Amino acid sequence: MNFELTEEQVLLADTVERALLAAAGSRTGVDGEWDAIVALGLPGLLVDEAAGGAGLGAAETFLVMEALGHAGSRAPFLSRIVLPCAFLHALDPAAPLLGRIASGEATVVTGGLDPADAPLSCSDAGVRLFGTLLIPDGCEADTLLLIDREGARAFLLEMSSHGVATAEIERLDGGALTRVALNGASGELIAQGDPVIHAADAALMLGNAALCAEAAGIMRALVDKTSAYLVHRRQFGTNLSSFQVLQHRLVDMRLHQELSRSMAAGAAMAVDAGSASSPARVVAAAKIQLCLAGRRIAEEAIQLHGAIGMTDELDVGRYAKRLLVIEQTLGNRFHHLDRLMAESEICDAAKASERACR
Amino acid sequence: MNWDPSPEIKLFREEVRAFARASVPDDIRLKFERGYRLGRDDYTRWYQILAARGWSAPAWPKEHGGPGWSPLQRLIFDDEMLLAGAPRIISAGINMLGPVLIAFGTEEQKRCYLPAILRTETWWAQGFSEPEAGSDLASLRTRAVPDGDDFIVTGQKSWSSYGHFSDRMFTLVRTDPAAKPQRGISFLMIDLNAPGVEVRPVRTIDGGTDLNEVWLDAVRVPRANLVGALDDGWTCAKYLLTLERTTIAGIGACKQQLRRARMLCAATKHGGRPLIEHPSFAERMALLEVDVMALEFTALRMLGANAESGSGAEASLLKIRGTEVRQAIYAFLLDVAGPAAVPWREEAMHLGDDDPAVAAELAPLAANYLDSRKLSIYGGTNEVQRNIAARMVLRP
Repeated sequence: MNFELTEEQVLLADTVERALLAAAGSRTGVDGEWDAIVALGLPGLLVDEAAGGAGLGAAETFLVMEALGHAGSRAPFLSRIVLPCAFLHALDPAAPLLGRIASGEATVVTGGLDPADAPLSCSDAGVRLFGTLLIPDGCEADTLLLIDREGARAFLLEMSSHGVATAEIERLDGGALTRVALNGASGELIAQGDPVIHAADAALMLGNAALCAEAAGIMRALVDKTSAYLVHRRQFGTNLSSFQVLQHRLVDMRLHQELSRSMAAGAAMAVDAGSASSPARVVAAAKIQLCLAGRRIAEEAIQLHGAIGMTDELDVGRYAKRLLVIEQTLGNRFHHLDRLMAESEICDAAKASERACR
Repeated sequence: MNWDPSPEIKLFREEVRAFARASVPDDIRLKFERGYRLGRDDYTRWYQILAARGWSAPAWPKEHGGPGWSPLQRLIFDDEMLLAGAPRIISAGINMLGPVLIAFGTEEQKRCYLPAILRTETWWAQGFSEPEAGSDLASLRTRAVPDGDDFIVTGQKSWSSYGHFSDRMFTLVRTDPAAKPQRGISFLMIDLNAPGVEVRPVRTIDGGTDLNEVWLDAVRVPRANLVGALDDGWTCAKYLLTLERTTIAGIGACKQQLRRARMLCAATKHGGRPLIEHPSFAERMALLEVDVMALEFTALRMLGANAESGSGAEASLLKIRGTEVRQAIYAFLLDVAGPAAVPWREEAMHLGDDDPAVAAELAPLAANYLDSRKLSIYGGTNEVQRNIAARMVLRP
């Protein structure tokens, strides 16, 4: 494994970080951040060059998501870019819709991909769809990419079409969820069978790796903020950072943040490397690590800030709440623990006892 | 960012693996994998096999008989050796004195001592800690008073690992009591067979006697045994602390013990079913796998980063986490042993014990667990490591 960034990757990370900083300065909120993402051509990050994109992969997704996390951004890069592009690309890298996402003409969000989503039901040979979904950042999307995992089918449908009712719900982290009720809406069947399962797995893997990267960026911000607070805050006539009990707790925060960053980067590298690296196992392990460390670091950040850490005005709480949402997106740690136990050698009891008898 | 190692590194791993699998003597491998006690003869025999291959001192440069490996190569070596059942290199001569002599020794000292260390003809013990100088090493009081061409050394050293089977000891001694604590200390090599030296093994909670007290009563030591400048021994001590960024995390050891846990979970039954089929064991096993993976990725990441890009706290963070994870695995192994941990027989720590009361694989686990408690104490306690790391990590 080589964790070092290429020159292009360093440049990408710097550019995204600077653009997000500028957007934050301009006080235009999520819209400003999204404009910055579009201006940098990031919607085409995962789209092949032949289709008008940059043809990049999980490593670059890691860099973008880490920067978004660190900046505390709520820009819907995961829901509008990473998930639909990963799914569509796995189905057909030359799909015209990918080019339209890259150019910003199409805004696509996925539904039915998250293990928490309720199953869909269909009628009329599968083109009439019924069900209710909670879709992150779905409000401004024009197209819904629906994945029916049980039936192994994928559909495209216009958000404005007949039989689609949407309602906005606020999210724990201050972002937006769209409640989409499908009542006989007609969708265009774009794939079925094994390719759908394969594409859903690919999207979930890249999506989870991306969430880990965002969480790693958030943790870096939380540890940096807590460190700075301990250095500046004075009590008992001295800086809080002079107390050993606080020093040690901060070191542990930094340690778990570094472990998390390594796992997030490792997951991205495993996704890029493909099956030889057992990416399913690495991604599941990474998500578990990031969920556990995320809780720990967020709780410590609040505690070490004292009462000010409980205020809504301080951004520590916003970062902490984003971590809680990440935990529950695309499978929480229990889901991934089950996956890891299924993937891992530990269930290969026969092999293990054979070794034991050597 | 790339998952796959370079072709050279891949080849290197294969080379080390092939050698390790073919070369570890069966009895030594069995002792090591079962967690039995190893003696001087076991270590010497294995290190001499490594020496014949030119690999007995992985961190030494080529010009002094080492293989001249990169940090990554050393990590891979550690990994493959442990997974093949080879005991770690615990020799203080190889790990500590050698690098100090290479950095600070005279040509004469290098010529005289390095070859015998490489071939494990001489066993060296470390003599740093004292009864009143543990974590606060600079408060050490063992005195070395110049007397002609010699020093007369008087004092007491504690926690000297493997001192009972060592021939010589390298120590930190006070040569200028008037100077500030860290200024008046010198690095001195002492023959443990000299008159006035007494080595007393200390029995530890795991039943072992690897730790020793060394009493020095007016021991005559030639001035030629001084390493580095007089009163400048602290420089050597600090140098030792910065040496092992790479293998300090003990990733090979974690993987090897995790594999042991996995096998024992499959082979040990509770309520008629293998432990691994019990959700509580399966979950802990999986979480330990996550911990080991995170540790390994972090070591590889910090290894790749050049020194300037890190905070300087990397070695401390890796030491803290590496020992925490290893201790967690040993604690898990203790739970795997369950009631088999209760019978306490020294024979169970040695090859050839055939008491049927407890499975031979489970019998050593209580002692192994107790022994593992030292990991967060030696090499700078994890609390001292946190103090060091805090200086780098706490920035405005």
